[in-house]
Amino acid sequence: MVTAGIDVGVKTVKAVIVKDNEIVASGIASSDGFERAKAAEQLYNQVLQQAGISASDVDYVIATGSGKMDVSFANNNVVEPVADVEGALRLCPSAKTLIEMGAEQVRVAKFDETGKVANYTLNQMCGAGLGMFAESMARALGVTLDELNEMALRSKGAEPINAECGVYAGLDVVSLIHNNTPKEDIARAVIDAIATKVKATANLTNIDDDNIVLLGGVAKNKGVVDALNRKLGVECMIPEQPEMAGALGAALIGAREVQ
Amino acid sequence: MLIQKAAQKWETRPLEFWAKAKELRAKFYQDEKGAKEQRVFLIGGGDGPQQGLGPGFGNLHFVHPHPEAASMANTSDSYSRECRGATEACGYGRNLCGYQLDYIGALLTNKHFSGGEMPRRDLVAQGNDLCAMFPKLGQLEAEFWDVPDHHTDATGYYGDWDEERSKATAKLMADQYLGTIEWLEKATGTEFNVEAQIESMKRQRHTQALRGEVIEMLTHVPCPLDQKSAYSVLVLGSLVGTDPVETEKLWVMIRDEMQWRVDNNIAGVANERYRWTENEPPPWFFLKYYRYMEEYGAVCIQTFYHGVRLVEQPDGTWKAPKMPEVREDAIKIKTKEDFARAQTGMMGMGGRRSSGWGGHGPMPGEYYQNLMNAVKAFKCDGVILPLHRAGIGCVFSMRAAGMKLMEQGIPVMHYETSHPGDRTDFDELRMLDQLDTFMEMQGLRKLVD
Amino acid sequence: MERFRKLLEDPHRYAKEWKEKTGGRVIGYFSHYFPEEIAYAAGILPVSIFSKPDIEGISQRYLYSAFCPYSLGVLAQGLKGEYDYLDGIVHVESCMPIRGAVANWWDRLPVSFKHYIAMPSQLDEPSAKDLMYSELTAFKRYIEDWTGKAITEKDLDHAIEVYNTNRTLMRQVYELRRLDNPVVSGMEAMEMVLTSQIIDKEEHNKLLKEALNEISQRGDTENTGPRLMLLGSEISDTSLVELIESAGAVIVIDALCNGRNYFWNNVLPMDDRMLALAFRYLDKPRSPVKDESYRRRVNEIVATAIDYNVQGVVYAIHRFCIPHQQDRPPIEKAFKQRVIPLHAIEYDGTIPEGEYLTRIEAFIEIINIPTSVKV
Repeated sequence: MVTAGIDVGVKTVKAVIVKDNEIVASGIASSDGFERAKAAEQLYNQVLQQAGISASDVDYVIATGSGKMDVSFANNNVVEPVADVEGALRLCPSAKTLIEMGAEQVRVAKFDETGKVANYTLNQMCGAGLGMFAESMARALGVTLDELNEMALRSKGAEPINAECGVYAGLDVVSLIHNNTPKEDIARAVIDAIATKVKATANLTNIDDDNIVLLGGVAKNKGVVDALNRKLGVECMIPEQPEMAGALGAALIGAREVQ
Repeated sequence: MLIQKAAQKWETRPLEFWAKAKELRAKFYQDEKGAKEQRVFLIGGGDGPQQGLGPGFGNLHFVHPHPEAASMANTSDSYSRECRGATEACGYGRNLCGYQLDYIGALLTNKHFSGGEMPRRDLVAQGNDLCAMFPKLGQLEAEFWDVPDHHTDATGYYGDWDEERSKATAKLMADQYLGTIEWLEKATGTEFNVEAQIESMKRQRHTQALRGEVIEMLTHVPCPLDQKSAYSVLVLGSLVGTDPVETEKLWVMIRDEMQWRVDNNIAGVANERYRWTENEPPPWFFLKYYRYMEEYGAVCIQTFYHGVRLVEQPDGTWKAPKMPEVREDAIKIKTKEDFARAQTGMMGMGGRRSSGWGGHGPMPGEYYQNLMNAVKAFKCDGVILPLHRAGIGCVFSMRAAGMKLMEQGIPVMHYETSHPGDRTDFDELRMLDQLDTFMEMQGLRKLVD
Repeated sequence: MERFRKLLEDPHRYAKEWKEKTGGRVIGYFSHYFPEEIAYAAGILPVSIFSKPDIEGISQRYLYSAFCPYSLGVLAQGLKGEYDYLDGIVHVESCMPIRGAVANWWDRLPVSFKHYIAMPSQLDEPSAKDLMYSELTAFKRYIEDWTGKAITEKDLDHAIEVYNTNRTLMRQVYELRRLDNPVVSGMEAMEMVLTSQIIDKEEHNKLLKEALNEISQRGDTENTGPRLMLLGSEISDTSLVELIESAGAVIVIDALCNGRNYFWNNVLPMDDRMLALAFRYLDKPRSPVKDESYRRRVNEIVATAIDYNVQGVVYAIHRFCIPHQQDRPPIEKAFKQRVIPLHAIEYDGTIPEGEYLTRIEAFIEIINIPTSVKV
């Protein structure tokens, strides 16, 4: 049996093909702004090629992500937290809590070993702690996101900035620049703000265990991960491709649906 | 979306009271517009003792800003946004409650939500609602219209019952009634007719008792009346001051119809299989979310916004508190002072600030208990609680109470909305995703035939 | 003057040391309508609970994030244990966000003595004084039950005298700011008034007398910049004042709840001390939530600004501070009618210095432009 999961986010689209419960192909591409339907289709074709199969060989396609309704070739769709949990359990079987950090959303879910979600929450209106915020701050400092993370790791400490509102956080960063604060410390302040916001969101789900897995593109940012580990007081687990969990989960759910 | 088959279908019928409710509401707004011709004083501002004093004068029509603003949000996004924009342009902060942004904007643009101009108010009477953010709206409205205004207070203490304090706060409230009557007499040149008011008060209590009976019937499975439909009548006779005689008749009709539906197992929603409850005003611009939930067979059952909290009986049933009118021998209401005191007691004003609806009143512990009681009484499987941005009065115990429910294993979903009266910032897709997640995490999928 | 600054560096230290030294009890309060004299008469130290920006977002678990940063901050302080030394918490009805912070504080944190004073909001209503009197009398009763000791008239008189002295001394400080060359800066005045809210008033009176003596020996100062008035949401430290004065202005007067409004009027002598206290607290300069009928506040503020020869007004409002946002247009209009420029800023707990310094500097330039050049 072959199933596919497509995760269409604000910045990137991810696709995974699962055959008989094993991952046989995966890929990630830019969502391309308004053209994300096209981007999803193109990526899907690429991973099909990677897997050496054609669309007709796929039994079921499930879409997830904020753009899931744009995936016209999907048989069905599933909400992100449910796909994330499924993917998280496959990637880190001992996980009991996941924190998914994407471009414009942070999701936290608590679940049991069967994948039943006990509690979840997500950031809503106000969001300093997001991937897009990190990128815009990196641009303001004239560095890439990776450089921002590395600079943060070199800093010894930073003045905290507003972690609730991206607009006010931005103003705080401007102030730090005016005050000739070293770039590393500004980077650290930004990264800490992201981690703070993520932790504040996570606090709404009664996190009380050490088995936390980090997912989403932002989980690849070393600075953010370091800050989050510090703030949560645990060493979070990070799978090899944390941004693929949603697509993987969708594909696995598809397999169950077919059965 | 992943789907399931419907396990059961209940019989359902259209609501017979619907047309009458709609007619009453429409008449209310017609009367607002026709006040001048009818030589009736149109009174702006809201809450406070003046709201119920219409029958004692016979020539007053009160227009409360909240339901107007809710109607604005419900009627048209573009109109609501235009009003909000006008208010912000005047320098009012964008973080004001959406009702205020809408309503002030309607005054500034001179556009009524049902079309035409905003009827000019003759007077403004504003009470200090339990939401302390509203009294200033009355100030602003009075200044806008440049008309006489009157302001009353509402307060209560938190803590253990204290007889002296209760007497003092109740006296404040009773004094507000008398002061308001005096002011209205002066401002309108009309003598207060205490007999007519007392008659109306008895009718009002009967209406409230009928409301209680209806709420009791919502504990039935299947629920005879879903909350989305109930919103059509929720504020009639209270925030929307429809004619007391017709309102009483309407509630008799609703009670009788609900009784019939309970006796015959007629459901409000045919595929009811999951019951959830809520509190506080919903996002009026997005009431479709109730119907969206019904695609899962999830039906919203009651809200404290009705103003009725059921009490558990020794036999395990849940009943609405008895209205004072059934204790005729205990209540001798003859004078306006008697009326003021009795009304204060009935409206739960003065004394301990507790019970009531919403986060306006109770502390987190009590609010949690109220919600837990609702879950038990109405046999609910989950709770959905809004976090209204800038709706401070609505939400100050909301998060804490919801967390406590979760600690007790009750599924709770908090969602952020801009404000019941204001669509700005509202992410429809995210809200629907949240609802989907809330359902899926409880093993529910959308139903198909 | 340095002493005031040092006290503010750690606002908790004094109360903790006081407790240890005297074995007495400390009550924290949020609203500045709290009748401190009654607690003081019972031998209790009343301290104002200061807010600090809740950067970590810990209060969001209980209080929705779209509340003003002040209320989120006070709750966060409680949750972090910064105020564990308090024996009691009293709240006097004021705005709803603070009520939310109090509600959740009481719900989550152990507090030996909790009390809520249901102060009226329509202070001009005839019945307001009856309720206030009743509530203060009840509060006195509860304090007596808690301490196990009656509060005598002599105790009350002593407390009133100490507090009135403090208020009179603070008025003297503020009078010095009325001068053309104010010998007291806005920073210094703010430090004095904020410290008065966290230490024993008798001690503060001593410090104030010493400070006034020091000040009387000052010659001309550098406080020659544009004379500004500061309005707005409650503040708990001097960072905002410092920012504004660093731009070259001098804040000569404010209308802040924990600034001028805190001490402005005295308790007047009356046979019934509780009635005297009731009148004092009802008659304070108005905050937005206690000014809901006949609008005293706007005129009070404008009259004060004219009295202090103010050249410009800065209105600093917290995000989600609804009462102040509601009052802003009428206040702006009133100042416009007097041709006194007003600049409003909104902030979220932390003050973005760089950005806001630029704005204040620009505002000062506008004030400094000679009249003939104005367009």
